[in-house]
Amino acid sequence: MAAIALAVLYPLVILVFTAFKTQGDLIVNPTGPPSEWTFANFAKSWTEAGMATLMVNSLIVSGGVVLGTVILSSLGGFALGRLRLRGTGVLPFLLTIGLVLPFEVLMIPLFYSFRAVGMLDSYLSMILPQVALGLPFGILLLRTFIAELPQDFFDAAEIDGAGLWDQYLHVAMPLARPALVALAVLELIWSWNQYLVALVMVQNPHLRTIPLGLSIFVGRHESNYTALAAAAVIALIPSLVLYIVFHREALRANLAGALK
Amino acid sequence: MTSAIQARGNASRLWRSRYGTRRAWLFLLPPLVLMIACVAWPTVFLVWLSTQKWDGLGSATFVGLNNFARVFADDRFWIAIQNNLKWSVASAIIPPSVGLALAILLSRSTVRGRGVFRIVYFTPQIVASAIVAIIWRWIYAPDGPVSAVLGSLGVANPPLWLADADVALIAVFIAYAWVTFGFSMLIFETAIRTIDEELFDAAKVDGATFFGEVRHILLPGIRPAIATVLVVSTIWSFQIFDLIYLTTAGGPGDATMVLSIGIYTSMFAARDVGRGAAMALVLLAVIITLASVIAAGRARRETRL
Repeated sequence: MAAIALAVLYPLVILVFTAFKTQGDLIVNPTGPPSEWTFANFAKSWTEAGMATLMVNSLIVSGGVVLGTVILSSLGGFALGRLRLRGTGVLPFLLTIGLVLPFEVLMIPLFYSFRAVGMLDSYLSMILPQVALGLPFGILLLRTFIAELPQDFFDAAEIDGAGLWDQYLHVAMPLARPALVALAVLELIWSWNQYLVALVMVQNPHLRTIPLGLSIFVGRHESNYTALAAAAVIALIPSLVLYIVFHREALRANLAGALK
Repeated sequence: MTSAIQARGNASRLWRSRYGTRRAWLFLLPPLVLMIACVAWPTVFLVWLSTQKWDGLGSATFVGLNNFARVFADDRFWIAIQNNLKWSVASAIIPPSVGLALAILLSRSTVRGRGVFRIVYFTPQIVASAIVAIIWRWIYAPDGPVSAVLGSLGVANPPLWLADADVALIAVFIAYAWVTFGFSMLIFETAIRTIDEELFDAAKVDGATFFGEVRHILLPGIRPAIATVLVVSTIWSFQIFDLIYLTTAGGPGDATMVLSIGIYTSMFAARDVGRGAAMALVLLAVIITLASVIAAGRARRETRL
């Protein structure tokens, strides 16, 4: 098992080795550890790729996507899981279709719709489509979770005079925490790594996210692999740190995500 | 007691049916509005665009089904479809097989630290495609690790991998398999854990071999998980864009061209919006067909319960 672990991690290890090598060292020694460790690539890539801006943008976009998806999914999930609404019988069916709809299919109409209302090149043009496409999954997840809660909790609150808003905020939300956390973690991984949405929606260099900024850096430094590797390592660090801290939640969330 | 709870339930249902419904729409409205604006409307708009000849700037002209006729008459479209199919078949076989083998290893062995290995094996799944592309572009580079190792083994002219039309698709797929096997592993491992341990014990008493156990207890026990993994892997694989676009951009020639890249380049590079929209609808049709397979499977399972 340890050998397999090494094999799985080896591409990442090569990346780290490359990031610490000089160009000359890389050519004579493409596979092994650097003969001399250098930090020069990191300094160069950090400034040339504008990593600080990319990270701030990724934080804003991913933060917006996670918050938006979790809040709107919990509202919709509460409405469908706890309340019986006339005329909503068709919604779960429509949501199931929405579940499999990828951005690849909708990129053309979304691009021209956002252009028509003058909202291209904005954080919202990256956030809103991701939230909307994540909602079918989020709402169905929360609906199932809330519908399976003991309904006596709600009935008791209702008899104590709690209105719908109180039932949502003080009964459903605390009880649905595991589902909310799973959704937040999944959306964070997806949106942090999302490339195509930013590629289509954003032209302004100041709004680029990490994946988009990296790909443009690649275009400028085609075969300068040490610089590319250093940029990639910098970009990888936040994901790895989060994964190491939240691995339990990430694995559990991916199980829930098997639906999608 | 029971009747008291029942009465309470009835009362609340009554209350809800009288006052609850209209205010409940307030909860549904915000997500609904966003989904109408960013999912439902774009879908309608997409259908309309597929009937237009439009360069994205001037005025559009209605051309009926002409875009579809052009797409279906285009060799490049069929190359993309073929690549998508190869990619999907490989995605349904290779990452799930690796995932299954590792899931069996993780769940049936008694090695300590299995939890750590599970986390390690899943790691590639959280790496962004932009980073995966950088890693594998170097691995496949002419002076990169693969060629270096082959060279030291005495292979004179190793292929240029990503720049070689014959092997580029396979080369990118290997990177994709490296990323995605962890998902299958996770689903399979969880499913294996739900199998009653006594079945394995009984098989051992009967003198079953390891492969006998796998074949007669383990595989039948995780059949629903196998179905889920196959369909989900296939749906995901059909949407493939990032990794191919960032490693070969569909090339060399059209060797790694797939539908999603065709949609993107129709819109931005070729300024042929109608054609891109028609291709997007083809992709949508494929995905919905695959998804209804899941829905049917799920319905069948529910009726059996």
